[in-house]
Amino acid sequence: MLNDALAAVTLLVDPTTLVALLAGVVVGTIIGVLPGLGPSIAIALALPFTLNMSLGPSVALLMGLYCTSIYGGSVAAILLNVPGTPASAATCFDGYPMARRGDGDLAIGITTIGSAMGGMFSIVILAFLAPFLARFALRFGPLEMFLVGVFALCCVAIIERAILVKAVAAGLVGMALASIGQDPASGDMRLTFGYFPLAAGIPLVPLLMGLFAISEVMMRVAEYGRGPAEGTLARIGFRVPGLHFWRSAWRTVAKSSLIGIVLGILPGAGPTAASFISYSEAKRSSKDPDSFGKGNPEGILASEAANNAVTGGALVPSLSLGIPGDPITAMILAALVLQGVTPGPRLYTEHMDQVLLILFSLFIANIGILVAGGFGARLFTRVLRLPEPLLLAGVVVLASVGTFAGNNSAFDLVIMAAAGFLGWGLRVLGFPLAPLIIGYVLAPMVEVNFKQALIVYGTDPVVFLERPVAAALLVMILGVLLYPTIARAVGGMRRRIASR
Amino acid sequence: MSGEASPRIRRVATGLGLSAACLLFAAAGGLLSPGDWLRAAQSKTIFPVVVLAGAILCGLLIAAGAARNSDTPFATAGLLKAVGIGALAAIYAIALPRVGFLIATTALSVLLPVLLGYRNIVAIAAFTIAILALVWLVFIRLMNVPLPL
Repeated sequence: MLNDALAAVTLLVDPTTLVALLAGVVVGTIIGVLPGLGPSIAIALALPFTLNMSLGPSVALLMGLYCTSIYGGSVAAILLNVPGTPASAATCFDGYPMARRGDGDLAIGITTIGSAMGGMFSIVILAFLAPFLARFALRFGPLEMFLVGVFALCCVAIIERAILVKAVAAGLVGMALASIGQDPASGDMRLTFGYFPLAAGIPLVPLLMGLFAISEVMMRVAEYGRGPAEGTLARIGFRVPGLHFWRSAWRTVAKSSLIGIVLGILPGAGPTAASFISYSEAKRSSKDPDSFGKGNPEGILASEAANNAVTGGALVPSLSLGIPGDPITAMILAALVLQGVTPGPRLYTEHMDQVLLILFSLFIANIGILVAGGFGARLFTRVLRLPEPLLLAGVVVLASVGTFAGNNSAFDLVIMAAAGFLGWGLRVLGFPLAPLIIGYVLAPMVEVNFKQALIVYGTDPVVFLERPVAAALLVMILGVLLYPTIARAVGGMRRRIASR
Repeated sequence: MSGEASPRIRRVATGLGLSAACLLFAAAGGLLSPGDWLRAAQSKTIFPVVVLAGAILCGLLIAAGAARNSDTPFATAGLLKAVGIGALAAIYAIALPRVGFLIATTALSVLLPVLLGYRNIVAIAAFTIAILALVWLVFIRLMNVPLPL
């Protein structure tokens, strides 16, 4: 083990490796900040370069890009309400209100620390539990994956208790939008309205750009000129909250990181679902849930710790079993295979030096997040000093160009514009956007696994006795759904007993 | 335009509007014809049918007052301005790949602030040049995005 660690460190301290890591951190942060460009584009752009590199620099470059491109997305989410990557969309809910009230520097500080902590937490898990977790993930068949999706949807709906019907409606609208295009199970076309471009469905990036960026421009235009000029209130730089904040916030970091790791390991869920579910859980368990969505720092922390913890979690099945959970880890896996790394159970016993090289690179990339945030924040937060009309014009330009850059598609821009009006309408009428996004993200997973489970297990309820993970998930779903009723009944009983 | 619509009328309009929109969506998508979706859960349309039926039900519940506690003030002030700028953003997005990014972005960067009453010509000119340079350098030069000039 010590020899393996020494071999990994020797590879890592090589000047070429360190330069590659630095390049990965800087380029990854910039790509993340730019709307529409995310980790998949960052890794795809880097793949040809890694072919001419040795193992150390190529691993360092890939890990640097992977971590920081997810982190970078939060910067645009906080400053402009434009999620740089879909994974940072949940950060908009509290990051942007913080920036608007003049605490953009604090929001950047929290997102930076939260991202790095989530990432590091997942590395520890990856180091010690990867083979065990990978075997556990194999016990998740279609039935369990369907129940995980339903559980996540129930959690999101239940936290919006005050607006439950509107939250459920928004979630269902998101699921309806996700069902446009190909049926994920059979491949048949549906809901295309005879319009061929819809056969590929509604893409996520244009939908998010419209729902968040364009609708926000419309909301702000309606209020423009009726309040103080907010640009002058904005603080420039990087600010970290004191110890008193972290004393209560560490639970959010730990819980969100765990959610991120688990959803990273499971195929099909990904960082976007992780950040929304984690955000919902932080809101549900908060003593002050009403402050979420109005600039609560724990909302940012939950979303960012979770989406960065996915990085380590997603590498668990890739390295331990050779099964990538999403397209990004598939590309990383391809690059590693080309470098002579053979993923699978024997990687941990026969080539621990390669595993450690990946882990150390990830760890340093997470430290790189702190450095990039610390140095970049002064530059990034200056954007808040722009006069509001110019800032709004910049948001429209960056959201549109970023949307086009994703697929080089003019149709995506039409989707973005339509989503802008949809998002604005929903916000004006008091519908929450979080359930809509989570419904959209989880719908394909729920549908395809439901249909597969029906084929594999039929409708016999005995299957829940044979599959303990499914039974446990079913109990959790019932618990989440019945919790408010039970809590009310218990509270009523207590009050009656006390009054007697 | 200012003032607020009556909460009850707004609630009914919101709920019925949501239900009608979902019904229209289902009809236009061919989901209302009793074809294959009744036969088996494996049908390609069963999932959207269930989801849209749920959304229609939610709309009716909202109209009936089930979401009464979530009523938000609906100020009509600024509504036209918001729709106008939203339409401008939509025209820009649609024009971007057709007209080219130089003309479309210059027009938006000047028009949007001017329509909002911002008259600092020097700041508008500097911002326009800066945003054009940023998009050209990062997206077109570095990322090779085939955005028409």
